[in-house]
Amino acid sequence: MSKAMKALAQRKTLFAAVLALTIFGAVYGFAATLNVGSNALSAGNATVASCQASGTPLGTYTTAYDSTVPGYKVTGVTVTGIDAGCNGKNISVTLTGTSNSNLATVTGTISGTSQALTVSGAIPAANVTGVSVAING
Amino acid sequence: MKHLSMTLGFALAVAATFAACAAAATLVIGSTKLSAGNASVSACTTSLSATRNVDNSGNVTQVNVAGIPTACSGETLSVTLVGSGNAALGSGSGTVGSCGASCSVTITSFGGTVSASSVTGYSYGLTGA
Repeated sequence: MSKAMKALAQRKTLFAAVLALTIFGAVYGFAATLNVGSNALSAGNATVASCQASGTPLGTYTTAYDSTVPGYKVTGVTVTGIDAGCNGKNISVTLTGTSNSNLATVTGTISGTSQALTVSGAIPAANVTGVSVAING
Repeated sequence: MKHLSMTLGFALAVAATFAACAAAATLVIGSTKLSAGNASVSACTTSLSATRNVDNSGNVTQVNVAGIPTACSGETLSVTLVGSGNAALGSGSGTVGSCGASCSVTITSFGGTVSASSVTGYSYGLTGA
């Protein structure tokens, strides 16, 4: 092969390599901006596990008289029966009323197998018809 | 040599493209644990009535709450003596014991002396055991 042919072949090889690296970089550039681009869509699946392997957490309440109600209001909620696996996780408790309305939501970090939470405001105890609990973290 | 170089370059470009695309498609996500649930909060009774005892000084000595449904057995009954403007004059509590057809609770301590003439009403609170 002549020197001219060898040089041409080397230039084409170099061109091909540059082209490959350019495409590679460009595609990775798109991938890197996937999470922040307004038109981007990423999808994936993951299992959502529960730290409460067994048993049923139980909510108990403390009340106090409030002249503004007037009557007894809820001053605290204590959730007991929490699995040890939930220790250190965040807990959110919502007291619900008629039509599942949100009367109050209190949050905290679980320490042990029970968690006491203070309810502020004047939530009439008589208005509470349900409780919703979520533990995450 | 020429064809080999071009083929090698093209193959490298295609491989790089697919490798990058594959990395984007296999977006790996994880999840923290999540537990959630709902429960009803029921009341063992919707109304209660009480009577009071008064000493010779005109102060309340005890409040008797009778006719408590057996469904309230084991719960803690709190009673507040209410005065003008819904002010709390005194409060006390007792445990609803095991009983037959209906239960009763007698409360004798209200955190201080309460004049019977100032009492305009009672307020109740029952919390489950």
